[in-house]
Amino acid sequence: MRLAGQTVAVILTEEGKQVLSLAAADLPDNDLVLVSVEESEDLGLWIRLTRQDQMHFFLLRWEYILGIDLPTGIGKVVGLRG
Amino acid sequence: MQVIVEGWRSSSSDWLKAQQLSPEELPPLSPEQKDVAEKLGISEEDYARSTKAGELSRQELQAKAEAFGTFLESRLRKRVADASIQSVLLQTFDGRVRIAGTAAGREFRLQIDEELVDNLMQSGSSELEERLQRIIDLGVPAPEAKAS
Repeated sequence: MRLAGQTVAVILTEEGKQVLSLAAADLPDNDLVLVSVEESEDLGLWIRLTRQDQMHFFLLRWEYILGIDLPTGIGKVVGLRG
Repeated sequence: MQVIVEGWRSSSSDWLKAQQLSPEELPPLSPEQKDVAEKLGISEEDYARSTKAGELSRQELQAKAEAFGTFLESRLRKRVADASIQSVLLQTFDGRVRIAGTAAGREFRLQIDEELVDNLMQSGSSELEERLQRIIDLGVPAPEAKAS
């Protein structure tokens, strides 16, 4: 599975929620948090955050992630070349 | 040649552009997308922003798949003069490029790692080109040898 560039819903541990709060991310009330993944690596997911209209990359470590839900509801785009 | 992008992906710059749009500039969600947002418990606006980011990057993915298809077809024709590619399918979730075509009067299918495609098209590395050639040699029918 290639997660780079995908938007995924992650289920975080309580610690994970605290970590994201410290990173000044807007957190919803429920357990699923929608994040945009820049890159996936051994340590965790590098996610995209915005603060004051600037983009930051933040490492969300695997130990704070209980599960990942990847919505795939966006379909095919077909183009033709002569 | 049919070029198909299945799934979606956004670059960081397109994602940032989508974050900066006002809610009025976001695309309306389909009923299915609204259903997904509701089931995931995420806001429709957040879901619409990620959808918009994917839309902005779609053209880039389409162009990449097309450029690779054109390059691959020219490589195939060095091996088999009548080779042609019918479709290039880029699957974003599993990072694969699937090729369907004909060569020497027979159909063939190839499955190529998107990472190989990206690295080859960005670096032009001869080592990666050799890997691609090996995939072609293994998966594309060769012309029949002429009887002497």
